[in-house]
Amino acid sequence: MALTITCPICGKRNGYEFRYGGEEKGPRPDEKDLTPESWCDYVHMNKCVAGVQQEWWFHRDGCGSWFTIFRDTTTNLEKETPEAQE
Amino acid sequence: MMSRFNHLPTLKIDTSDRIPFTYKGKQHYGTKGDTIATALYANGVRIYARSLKYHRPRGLYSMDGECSNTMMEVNGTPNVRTETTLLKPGMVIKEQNVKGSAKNDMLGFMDKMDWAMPAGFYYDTMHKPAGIWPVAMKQIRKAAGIGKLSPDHHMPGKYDEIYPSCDVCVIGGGPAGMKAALAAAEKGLRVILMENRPWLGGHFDYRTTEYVDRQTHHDRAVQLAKEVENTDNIRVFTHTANVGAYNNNLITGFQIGTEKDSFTERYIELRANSVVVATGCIERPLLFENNERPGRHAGRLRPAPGQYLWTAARQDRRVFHRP
Repeated sequence: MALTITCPICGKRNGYEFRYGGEEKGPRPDEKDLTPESWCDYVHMNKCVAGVQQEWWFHRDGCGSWFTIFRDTTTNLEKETPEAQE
Repeated sequence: MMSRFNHLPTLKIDTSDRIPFTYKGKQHYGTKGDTIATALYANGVRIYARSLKYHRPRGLYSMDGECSNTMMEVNGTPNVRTETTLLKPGMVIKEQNVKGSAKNDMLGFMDKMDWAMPAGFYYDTMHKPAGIWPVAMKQIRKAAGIGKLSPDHHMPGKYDEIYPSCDVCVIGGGPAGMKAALAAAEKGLRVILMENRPWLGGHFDYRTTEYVDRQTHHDRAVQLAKEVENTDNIRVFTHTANVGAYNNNLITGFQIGTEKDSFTERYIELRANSVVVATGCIERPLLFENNERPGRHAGRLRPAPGQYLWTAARQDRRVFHRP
């Protein structure tokens, strides 16, 4: 696997060691006024951007931490900032 | 009836050491350092295989494993590229996809059928009319394709995989690659050097022309190779084909072991901080009628004396750097 992920604790490691945790969608919605539709949107609906997205990763075979990174989904390369770099 | 050069300093063979092997059921002899293809050539074999569709004769062409002309069955393993596989004692070598022998292939008449099966012709055409396919399929399977693998064939040998890491990975052990590796090692970086051939030197290795100050290209290659091997932080993988270069500098290779190694073949997957590609180029073949028939060669050929040789080649050296 050509992908590498930079874990905040362990540093840059092989992508084999990690488990994908989905897109970063902001904080969990408040349970007050929560409709089944808005909960469904929060859980299941993804943006699937072609470009840089913030996403969760779990260092399964390492320190076990959850963290977010920015990754360009078109090149499969990690980015330091959310803006697409040319 | 072996006729060989034995005075060139660039030779990698030792004619005093004979290696027996079996070809078409008969015992033949090669010498130490031979590849299977050169041993067969020295024993008078000129046609190694037949093309998979028209059964046109196929002989030595690239000499470096870049063509499929000389794929043969060795010890029951099909599609072995004999140009790059070193001869070992007791090898049993057979031709594949021929009826009879490669020299006198009974399916050679297929070449005359090119009007019926032009380039781009698919065997699927035989699906219509229905009913013809079961008959056609049997005949096509007899005539086309290359090697045959028996279902219970077991690859002998030991196979391994390693996952090294390094600061700089240099692909190609020619003069440019070796210089790049030495320059990186001088800076104190850990270097891995991968070379496809069983020795370092690249295109300098087989040239006896002057490089500078009466030093030949070959001597220069030997000098550089010694420097590389004596540098502690360069790890050299020879006889290692680089098979992939991916994102984030993931490099994969496939190494063939020598007699001293504990493995027969092994897979190498490495992650480098930086990659230097110094692979050189493969020449583009000239286009003319029958340019693939035996007797036409690509560059880098070491012919037997007293034979006419027609070589058309265009070579180039290039180095890329990817940070």
